[in-house]
This record gives sequence, C-alpha cells and structure tokens, in this order.
Amino acid sequence: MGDYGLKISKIGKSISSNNIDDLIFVSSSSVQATAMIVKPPASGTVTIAASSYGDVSITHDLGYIPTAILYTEATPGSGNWYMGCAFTNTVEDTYVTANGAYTYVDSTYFKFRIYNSIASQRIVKYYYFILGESGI
Amino acid sequence: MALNYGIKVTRAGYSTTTNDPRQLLMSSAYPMFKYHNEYTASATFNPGDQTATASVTHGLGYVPAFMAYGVRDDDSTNFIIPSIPYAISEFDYAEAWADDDKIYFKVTLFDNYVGAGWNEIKQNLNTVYTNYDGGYSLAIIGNAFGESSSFGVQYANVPIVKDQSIVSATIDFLASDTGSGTEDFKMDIWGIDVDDLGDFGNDLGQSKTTATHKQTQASLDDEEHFSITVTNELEEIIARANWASGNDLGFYVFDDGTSSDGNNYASSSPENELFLSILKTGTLTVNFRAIVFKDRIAL
Repeated sequence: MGDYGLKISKIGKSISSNNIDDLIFVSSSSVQATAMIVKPPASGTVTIAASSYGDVSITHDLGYIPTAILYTEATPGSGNWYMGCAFTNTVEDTYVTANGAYTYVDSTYFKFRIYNSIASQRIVKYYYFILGESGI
Repeated sequence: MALNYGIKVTRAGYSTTTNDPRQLLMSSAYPMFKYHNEYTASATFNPGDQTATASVTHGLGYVPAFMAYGVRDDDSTNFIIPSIPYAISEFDYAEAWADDDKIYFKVTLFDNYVGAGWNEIKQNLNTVYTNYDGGYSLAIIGNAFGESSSFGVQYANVPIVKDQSIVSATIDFLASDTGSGTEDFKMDIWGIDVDDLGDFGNDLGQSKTTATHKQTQASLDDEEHFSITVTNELEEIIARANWASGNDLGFYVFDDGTSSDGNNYASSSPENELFLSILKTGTLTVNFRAIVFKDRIAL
C-alpha cells in the first residue's frame, strides 16, 4: 500500500525534506496531534473587588479534556499579557493562581481564578485558546 | 444550497469521516496557530541576585500569542514557562509576558534562596558566648557598666567547600538593645582557627586566625543593623587542611578597649539576629526561547 498524506514545507525549504523544522505541516504517522483551535478564540473581562479574587468559568462542552492556553493582562491598561498562571504575585499584583483547585480544565469547563492583591477594584482582561488535542 | 467543502487530514488509522478533533491533524473547519518566529535570549544571575530578566523583540505591533521555555546553563532540563514552584530546577517562578513589541522573561530564585541571592549562603547562629556577665544567650560589643564586652559566635554545618572562592562574608548584627553612648565603637575581629569548631562554651581564648582587622562602626539606635566583615577570616578557615563542607566555624568580635561606659550594643536574641552571609563567586545563566505566533491577543 502506498504512503500518502499531506506535507507543506516552509518557504525556501524542499518538500522532500524530512526535517520537521523545515515543515509547516506533515501528516506523517509519527505526528499524533497538532494545535487545532477547536473553539473560537475568545476574550472577556472579570471584575475583581479589592484584595479579593474573581472566578471565570468557560463552558467548552467538548466531552473530553482539551488543552487550554490563557493570557491575561494582569494590570489593566498595561499592555503586558502574561501566559498561564503564577504561584503568587511575584511580577504583578494580580495573577491567575496555579492552585489546581481553582484553575483547571475538565471535560466540560475551563475554569480559572484571578487574585487581586491590591486595595482597589480591578477589571482584568483575558484571552484564551482551546486546542483540539487532549490535555491528558 | 449551502456548500460544505474544505480540507481534512486525519491521523494515521482514522477515517476522514470522523468529526472528533482528536483524530484529526488538520481541518479547514478549525484554525491553527500561525508561526511567526522563534527568539532566544539569556539572563545572568550574578552573586547576590534574586531575579534575572531578559527580553526579545517580536516587532509585530500588536500582542501575539506565544509559548516560552527556559534552560539553565548548568542543567540540560528545559522547562516551560510559567514554571510552578517546587516543580523543577532552582527557580521559584519563571514567568513570561508580551506587549506589542517584545516578549519578556523573569525568573526568581527558589524558596530556599529567598532572603539570599544567587550563590549566597545564609546561616543562622548556633551558639554564642559574651564575656559580659557570662552570657550564653546574648551578644554584646562595647562597654557595658564599665566592662569591656566581647563575644564569640559559632555557626554549625556551614555548607561551603574547602578553598571556595568568595566575594564577601559578613555577620549581620541586629542591635536590639543599645546603651546610652553615642560614640563610634571599635572592634577587633578574628576567625577561630580550628577545622571544626563545635560548641565552644565560654572559651574566648581559642587559636585565632592570622587574618584579623579592626572595624569602626558609627553609633546605633535600637533595632538598627550593622555588618561585621569576616571575609578574610573566613577564607583562612576554609583554607585549612582539614576544613570540609558541613563543618562548624566561628569568629571572635572583641571590643578594642577604647569604648566609654554605656557605649554598647547588644543582640538579645542572637540566634535570630546574627546571620552569617557568604557570597560566593560565579554566575548562572538562564537561556530562554520564545515561539511567537502571528495570532493576535486582542479584545
């Protein structure tokens, strides 16, 4: 049986290359998953009272545990967007907790908690991607 | 009639009729991250540093999606950023963020090092003796009630190897109780010239290092700190033939006899107030890598 599939190389690279770094896409049997974004990338804001926290719950309803990538603008208006979560406020006074009791993905939801350690309310922006491959 | 067309590529062994994204490598029904470029940067911890930062320029003019990784130059283990405390390496936290021009990286030392910097050892006092009133639980320097007061300190299990190159060594002294004097006070300082000191009881007469120096300190108020330099004295101790990491060591800090009555400074809880800080030479470099996508993070 013939070997067939789809391969797309980077500009300037040969399509005969087997170097994964030269390829945009390859359907080789060794490739088990790719970063397909299966839910429209989405954004939102959460209002967090002074010295408190805000919980966000996003329903994806995929029926399995996907991979989620989250970015937050920890300090509103700063233009600085952090990937993922943090253990505590080492860089910014507002952060997504890494505590798995509050920040996690299951087969229905993507949930995260943002702590605000300053003495005034904050409205924090977030942006997320949900990818098709299983997160576990 | 609405047309339904596109491209779908499944994983090996799965039918193209599947609608389960986990069985697909690509489908034109779903977008994928669009690779922009890959960048590397390095940050170096110098002795005493607690954080290291670096940045790279992506130049997209908007905030892009990205992934970030790091690896220490003395370790081959790559870690994804953000890294979680206690999970990997010696860093407490590694974080990355983006703005419309750059990707930034920051690493902060692991909990065991907080309060100390890169290549810094902080050691609590183990035992102390001061000649003033035969005290085993306080350290006094200066003249208290007409008595020239001196003390010796011992630090146990000091994790520094023989002949370690050091930048500095200091004893941080918290003057939790001060006398009425306001003069400068003068100290004579030695190391205790033995391989493994042990608890030294009330013996302020053990062999002293050749290295010694005088130190003058301006008068202090209650709860003020000052540093007693012991760099040369420590170097001589750890150069001894039988010095080994984990041994005990100590120092003498003697009043030079010129202090006036009342010009004295006491640490009333020296086990918590007399820290030995040793700053070793050497640097640590962390190499970062960021994969930047053209996908925009925007509201």
